[in-house]
Parts: sequence; C-alpha cells; structure tokens
Amino acid sequence: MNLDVESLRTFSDLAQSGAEEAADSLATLTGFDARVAVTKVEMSTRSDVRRQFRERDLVSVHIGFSGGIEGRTILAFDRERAVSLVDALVPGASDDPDGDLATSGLKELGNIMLGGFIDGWADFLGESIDITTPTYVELDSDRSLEDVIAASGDGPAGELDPGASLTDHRTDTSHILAFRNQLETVDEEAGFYIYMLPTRGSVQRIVDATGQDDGLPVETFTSFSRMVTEGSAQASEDLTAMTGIDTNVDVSRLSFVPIESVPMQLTDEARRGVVLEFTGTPSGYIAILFDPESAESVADALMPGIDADPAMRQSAIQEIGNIVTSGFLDGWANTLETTIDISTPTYVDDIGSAIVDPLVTELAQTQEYAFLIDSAIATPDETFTCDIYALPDERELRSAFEQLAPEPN
Amino acid sequence: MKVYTTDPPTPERIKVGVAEYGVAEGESTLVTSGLGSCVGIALADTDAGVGGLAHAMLPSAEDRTAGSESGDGGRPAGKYVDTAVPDLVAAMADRGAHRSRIEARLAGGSAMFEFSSADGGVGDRNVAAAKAALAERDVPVVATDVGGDHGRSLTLTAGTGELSVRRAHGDTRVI
Repeated sequence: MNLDVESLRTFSDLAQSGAEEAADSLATLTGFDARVAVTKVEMSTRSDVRRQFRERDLVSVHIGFSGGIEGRTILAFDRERAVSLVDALVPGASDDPDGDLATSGLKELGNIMLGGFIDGWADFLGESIDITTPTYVELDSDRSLEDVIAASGDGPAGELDPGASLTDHRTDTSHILAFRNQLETVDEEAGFYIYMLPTRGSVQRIVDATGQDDGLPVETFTSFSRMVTEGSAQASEDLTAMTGIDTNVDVSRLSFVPIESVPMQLTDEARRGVVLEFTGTPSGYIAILFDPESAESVADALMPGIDADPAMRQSAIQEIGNIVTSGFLDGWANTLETTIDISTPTYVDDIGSAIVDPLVTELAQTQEYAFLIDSAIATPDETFTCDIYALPDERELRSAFEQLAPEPN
Repeated sequence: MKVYTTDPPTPERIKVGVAEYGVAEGESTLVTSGLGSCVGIALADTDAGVGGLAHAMLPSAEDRTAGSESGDGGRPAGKYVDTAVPDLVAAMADRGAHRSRIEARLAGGSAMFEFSSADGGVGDRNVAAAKAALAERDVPVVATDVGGDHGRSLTLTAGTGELSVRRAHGDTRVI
C-alpha cells in the first residue's frame, strides 16, 4: 500500500469535516455549541492509543461501521462532565450521573455524534456506511478497548506494518493509522475525543479514491515513526544520564495536521525551555519545553547542592535542550543517511502556545499541513516532564522519505 | 442602537483559534491564546455593541512562496490578514455594526526568535499588513500592543472594544 501527502491531506480534511458534522449534531440535539479544536491523522502504535485513553481517565462509546469502508469509531469523554449535556436528550438523566438513564443518554450522544462523523466520510466516498449499535465502555476496560484496537471479527484496525495483518503478528508496536479529533463545548464544560480506526483495506480504499498513484510505500511512514520513537528513547537515555534521574518515554507520535492547528496542541500555561532550528534534509524547528516546576527540578538535578542563580539555571536548561535535541535528531540523520545541523538553543520562558507559534508561522509560508512529532519524556515519580515538539519542513521531509523508500520494482 | 432590544443573550466566552475569527455582542468576550508572530486584530463598534477578533498567521494569501503546491482552497479566511480583515468587518456588519463606527486595536506580531533560514520579520509584516488593510477601509487603529519578543493572549469584550493583553506569568495590560 502506498500513501502520499495528498491522501494524508484528504484524510485530514475528511476527519475535520466529519468532526464538524459531529459538533453540529451535538449542538442541534443538546443546544450546547461545540467546536473542533484539533484534527490529527496519527501514525500510532496500539500501545500509544491505549495509553492516551488511560492517561485521561476517559470512558467511551464505541461504534463499528461497515459498507463503503470498515472499522471502528470511538467517542471518548470524561463521564462526569459529559453527563450534564445529555439532559437535553434524556430529561432527568443528570439527576443520577452514575445511573442507567445517564448511560443510555451517553450512548445516544455517541450514536448521534459518531453518526454525524461517519456521514462526513460517506459523503466523500459517495457510498453509504452503516453503523452498529453503540457500546458503552467503562474506565480500565482493557479488554473492550483491545477489541477495537486489536484484531476483531471484521479485521484488524488499520494495520500498516507489512505482515501484521496476517493473524498473530500483531504486537503493541505495530502501527495503525488513527484519526483523532478533539471537540470542546464553547464554555469548555465538556471535551470529546473522536477516534476512528479504519481497517487496512479501508485505508487503501480512501487512498484509491483520492486518485493519486505516486505515493510512498506506507512502510516509509512507519519506519519514520519508528525512528521518531527511537529518537525519543535516545533523548530519554541522555536526560537520565545528565540528571541521574530515571526517565521514560510517555508519548512519541508522528501525526499529520493542518499547520494552523499546531499551536493549539499547547495551552496558555507558561513553559520554559529552548527552541532550536535544524538544517539539512530535512530542516525544521524543535522546541524542548518544561512546565515551570519541571524546569526547576531539572536545573536542581543538574546542579545538586548548588544555590544556582537564574542565569545558571537558564544555562542548565539550555544545555539540557542541546543534549535532548542531539539525542532526538541523531537517529534521523543516520537513518535518512544525511547530516542534520543544530543551531544554538534559544532560551524561552513564555506562553506555551506562543512559543510554538513563530515556528509554525515560518513553515506556514510554504506549507499548509505539517508533520508534527511530539514526544513526552517523564520521570516515573513525576519529578519532571519534558515535552518535545519537532516540525520538519514538509517537502524536505518528503524528499528524505523518497530517498528512504525502496526502489520500485 | 443596540442590535438586541429585548432579552439580551447571556454573556458568552468564545474561543478564537489560530487562523480563525469570531464575532460577539454586548458583554460577551472573544478570547485567543498564544500570539507569537501572529497578529490579533480586535474590532468594535461600541454604539452597536458588536465586536470581532481575528487571529491571523500571515500577511497575505499572495505572500506564500512559489512552490507551495496546492491552492488554499477550503483553508480558513482567518489565516491571512488581508482576507481576515474584510471578512471580519463583513461578519460584524451582518450583526448590526456600522463600518464607519468600527475602531481597531492590534496586539501580537512579536519577534521571539531569530532563525537563520527565515527571511524574518513575519511579526512586523503581519502588523503592517493589518494597518494597511484597516486603513484601506478607513478603520482607525486606536491602540496597539505589538512587537517585542514575548507572546500574548487576548480577551476582547465585544460591546466595549476593551482588549486585555496578557503575557506569560499573568502580566496584563488593557488597551
């Protein structure tokens, strides 16, 4: 199977219009206005998808679909907050937020929103898509989630790795193509996540429907995604070596997003860290950011027992940024058989989303979509978390991919 | 003249994302986060009690370097200053604002980093483009909080045109 940037754009547009349909359905039925905050096409591993659910303590409504395309969709939300919206559908449901009436209201909400979401896709394909009855899935219900993410009667969810679709080759590290939307109500009372996991065959159908035949083998994307994971692991090791504190890679993902949505991955909260520019094939920008408490903890770990002044702390953070960036990018240069140079890190202490904004603005002059790489490295005891955002130039990354791709037979 | 004479709507807090714009009335607020080199264009007709806020990324749709392949079909008009300004003015007029009474406040357009590969000054160019687009429509700019090397988040009170500009660590200025 080949994937090209045009297909990814189509996927992104489809997910966006599907999510807008879902938001409209929510507004029409409950009277609560909602907006689409984030639309992402992700190349994820199953363990990544599972982790995203667990970390946010979300419950979910699952719906299968078949017809034009096949797969599963999931509407995930915080039950306590979402229940306030279902009164409009099932009057009195929020009187007993844990009750059966509330659950059936939530299922109905899932049915309506996911139905709207799928309608957007069906319109594009010009074919009807049928949906199954919704299933409500409680917290910590790994088995049910596994049904969606892993193998099921109607085929595996969007397996991208070669051979992985052959029965028992599925592992936690094999890749799936997932569509992730984040919706929020205007007053921010409730947030929803819509996941869509099409089968591999369905991914192929949509790729075919875009009518492009110059795509890159999908393995190119998955091997890049793996490279990103390895880069994160190296950065984590280097952080541990420098600070003497054990760290793990919590998140490591490659996604394809409309460029203007990148700053919205971050919030209004202050972040400290460094921004660097890298040049080569590809060139791009990287931001290594800490929340203020994490920044203090990292600086303390680097200078144990020293009463460091702000300037010393700042240079400690810069040094960390340098090391983490090298760890993160060195593997890319090796795999892509190219050289990537890194600029001097610029220290930054500002509003999180505003730090990423100038990087995005530079790239937006020549591209409308971005490959966003985001990783989070954290200590098990929550001493600190380090977020990495990398934004390679889309066309340069694509040409790097082309060099990476096996010659066509 | 107020657009609504009876039953004013309850004040809302409307989020305006990057490359978006929004219009609101009365005590409702329009908020946008994380302006770096992006520019925030806040407009208000205080007599009508209608305000609008845009979060634009780039000066002009035509500014895009040759070589970016596909057109900009379907992308939000709020992304570029030169499309955001006329659209925002029109959207406000639809809600009862009079073009001749609209006043503007600008915030953002900072230069946070110096990148070697960049031709630089997107922030400055965004602010200049906003001033030009507003001047073309005879909309006076009554206050600005632009430039510098820091980020900003904005809250516009629609009916009064009051624009609150917040920096990191809570330092807030009202223009």
